[in-house]
Amino acid sequence: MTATIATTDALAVEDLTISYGGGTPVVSGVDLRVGPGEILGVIGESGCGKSSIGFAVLGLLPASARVDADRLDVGEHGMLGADESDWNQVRGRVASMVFQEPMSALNPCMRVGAQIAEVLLVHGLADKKAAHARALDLLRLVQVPEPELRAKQFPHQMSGGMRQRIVIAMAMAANPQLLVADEPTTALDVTVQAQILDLIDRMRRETGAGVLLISHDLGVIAQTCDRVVVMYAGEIVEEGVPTEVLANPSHPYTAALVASIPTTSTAAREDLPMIPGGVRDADRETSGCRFAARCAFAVEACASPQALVEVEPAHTARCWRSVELDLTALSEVKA
Amino acid sequence: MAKYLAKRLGSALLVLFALSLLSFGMVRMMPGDPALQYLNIENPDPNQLAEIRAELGLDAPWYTQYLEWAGGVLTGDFGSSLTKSQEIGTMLGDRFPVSLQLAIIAVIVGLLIGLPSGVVSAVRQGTPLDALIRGGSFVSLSVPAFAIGAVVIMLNALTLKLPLIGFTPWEVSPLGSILSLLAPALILSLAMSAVISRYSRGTVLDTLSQDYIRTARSKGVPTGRIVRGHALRNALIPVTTVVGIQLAALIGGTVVIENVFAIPGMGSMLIEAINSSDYPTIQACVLVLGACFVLINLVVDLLYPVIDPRVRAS
Repeated sequence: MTATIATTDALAVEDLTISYGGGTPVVSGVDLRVGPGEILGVIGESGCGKSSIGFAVLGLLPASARVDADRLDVGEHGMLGADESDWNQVRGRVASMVFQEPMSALNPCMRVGAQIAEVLLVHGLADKKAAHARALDLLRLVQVPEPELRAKQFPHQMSGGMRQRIVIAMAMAANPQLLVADEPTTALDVTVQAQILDLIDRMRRETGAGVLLISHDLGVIAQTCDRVVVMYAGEIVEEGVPTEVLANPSHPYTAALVASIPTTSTAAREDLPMIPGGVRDADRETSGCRFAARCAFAVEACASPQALVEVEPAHTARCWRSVELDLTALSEVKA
Repeated sequence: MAKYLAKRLGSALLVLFALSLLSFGMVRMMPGDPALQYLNIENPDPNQLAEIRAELGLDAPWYTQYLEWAGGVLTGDFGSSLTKSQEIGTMLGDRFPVSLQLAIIAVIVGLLIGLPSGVVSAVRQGTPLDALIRGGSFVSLSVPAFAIGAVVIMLNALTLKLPLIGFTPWEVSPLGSILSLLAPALILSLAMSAVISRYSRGTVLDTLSQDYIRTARSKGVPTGRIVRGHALRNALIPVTTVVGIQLAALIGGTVVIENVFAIPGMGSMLIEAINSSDYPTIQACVLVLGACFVLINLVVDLLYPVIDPRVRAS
């Protein structure tokens, strides 16, 4: 085992393809890189494959899932072809996860202090006493009031926001290089959402962990991420800095996504632009643009294969018309 | 918590009261005149019958009879048998511990076989081992205990000739007593272990699909530790109830196996009493067996908050 070098990427994924039970891939040809201390947002609508990516980089997909990639590095660990015991060395210690549902993510029959300490015990990073002391430190770190009392409590004695703090404390217990946060605020009240996002932001600043933040909420992504990847039907369609991508979308899907955020000016429901239709299986099988069937700008040539091309420095989009289309107009209404 | 305890205790007492009324009333609705049975002669003298009715208190209104009986039961006096020259309390004292001992041994063996096999079956879901365990439990459930009992006794008589029949009281030799019940307890535990195995397989599978198991995996907890540390306790909560019901059912429900192995338990006592219209004995047996159900369920209810912290809070 080599010492952790600060410059090692938290996550490096190349050409990741995931399919279930031999079906059409739900994720195909995805490249991701999360640097140390960086928050990479993954955004897309339900069924675009973003959660599958989150589970795949921790080896948590069910046995029926088939994961192929050219590269799957978690920290300095190459996890291609890793078995369950290899993953158990990495999970919790090198990479960990925060889940969408804090209400069900914790064991109802185990005191939360013990659940946090378990990470350290399982990886042999501390003895029982030290692990429990560290659990209290972690509870303080995630700003849980009265940590001594809370550590002895069970999950049902806490609110959703508090439980999500516990889950984050658990995820950060072993100082991992990568934190995967799968819709960490979706199940929470709006006021608590901001607190949890702040907490994740603070964690990565203090520990230097890279974060893969999966969300369907553009607001969350814009507020927190250093870079964002927009996914559609299992493919990356656009990638760049959030401010840039959201203010100046270069893929019609991103533009439509931005346009469909409700604002105060869209008073009536009818005013809210929607993207017609949904993702069909056929869209995942086409060699051309997968969004073409729902795209207002689609032309015949969109049926030919598309590549991610640079539209500006550090901003790529998978749309051959991105240069000629003025998509800002579409999203500007909202800006 | 105190409210939970009080509620459980209160409802247990209420059920016991209803049970006493029911066992009292049920016996009185049965055909056959106890006074006739008591005299045991043909064409008895009506005066003599009336005399005996008065002696047995059968001429009093039913509520007087009930109150007298219930009052006696509360002080441990169940009255005397009509057909045997014995106090019912003494008979219960002889018979009940035997049935309880048999049931407890059967439950322990049933748990020792059923629980691990159910857990293994769940963890190794879909493997040949799982199929074997499920098949085994299916067979155990399908074959009635008395059939296995008869076969075991027959085979034993032809081959090993072990002393399987009869009962050694606890006072004579505790070890001998346990050994004398081992064969019938094993046979009774077959169906029981099958029930526990199937049930715990289901609850463990259900538990393993919960979100917090995925959380534990995301922490790098190995499978064995996940099962022992996270799944088992959560899966055992519903199993407790099933084991409690099984235990209670075994105390009174071992009639046939008691006959096959000549064990002087509650089951045979009840059957004898029913055959001879010995209504005070029937009443007492029904009450005691029912009370076992109530008490065991109460114990299970009281165990819940110990196992499940969520119950403790509510």
